[in-house]
Amino acid sequence: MTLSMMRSPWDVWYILLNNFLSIHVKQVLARDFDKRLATCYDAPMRRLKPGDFVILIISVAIILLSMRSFGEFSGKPEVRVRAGGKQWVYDLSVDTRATFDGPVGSTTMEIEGGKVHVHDSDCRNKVCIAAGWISRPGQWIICLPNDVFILIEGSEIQEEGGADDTAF
Amino acid sequence: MTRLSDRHIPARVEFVALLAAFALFLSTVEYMIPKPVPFMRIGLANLPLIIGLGILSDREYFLLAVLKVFGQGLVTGTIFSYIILFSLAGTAASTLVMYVFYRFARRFISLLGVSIAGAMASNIAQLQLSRLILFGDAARLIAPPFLAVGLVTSILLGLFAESFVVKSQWYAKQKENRP
Repeated sequence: MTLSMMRSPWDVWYILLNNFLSIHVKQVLARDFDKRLATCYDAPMRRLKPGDFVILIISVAIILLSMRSFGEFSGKPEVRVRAGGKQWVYDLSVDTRATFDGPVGSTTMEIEGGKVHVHDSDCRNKVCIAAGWISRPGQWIICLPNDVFILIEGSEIQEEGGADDTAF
Repeated sequence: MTRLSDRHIPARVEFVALLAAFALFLSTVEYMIPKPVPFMRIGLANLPLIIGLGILSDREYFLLAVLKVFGQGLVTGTIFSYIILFSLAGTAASTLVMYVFYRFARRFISLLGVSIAGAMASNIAQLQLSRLILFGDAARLIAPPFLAVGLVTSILLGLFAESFVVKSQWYAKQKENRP
């Protein structure tokens, strides 16, 4: 840095201070950081091995993976219907009525007010109609003779408290 | 050689008892820390098990693990409840994983990696158990925070254990005496 580049006396002080500090710090480092102190400060870090980081990365990956399934689990509840080798997905919060054809005849499913039931079916026993209304994730209705399977998937947010209440 | 003759050397009961007492003390400290699920621990009491890897014989090491489980159950008052099952499963998993990693992969990992692997093994074992007997599929809801807490505390414990092993003269002396 030449004299012409300096704009004020402060620059001179700044450079002097800078030089003094760096020389001083170097001396202090040379004097005080003897072997014992040095091992004391950086030995654990230096002793880390590549496998540590591999394990760390795998662990973080496992946690991220568990978070991903966490997101799926708290999704909106939806109604899955499987009939005759095909699948349909309905929104549980939208009122609809749908008819599925099977080996025996037709089965009519109805979604109303967040609940599902089989309104009418051509099967003999009418077990599916007798099953009544289902509304919670994990519940299902099946009509075996007509090969219609209705399942609610997903989770409601209030389910979290519910699990704890029963466990404790 | 030492592995073969290991069987005939009696376990140093006092020495294991010292480390077990240390584990007991740490689980008491840990008991003060509030936790949302009874078996969700931060794992302080695993410190003697991590440190013990280098200075205990195989038999003494697993003896220490058993003592830790029952000592912890005694301190937290859960020894006659289902929670001891979680403690047992977690400690068994982490002990085995840490032992295998330390014995066979010592060249590639330090005590930090051993600690993280042990914590993950313990937590995954406990999550699986809770899925089986407690929460069902809802166990997935507690999985991420459960595993994350375990990871953070195991990193801290591992770093501490590694620096302790490097610095402690007591440890160096015990390592020489290792049968």
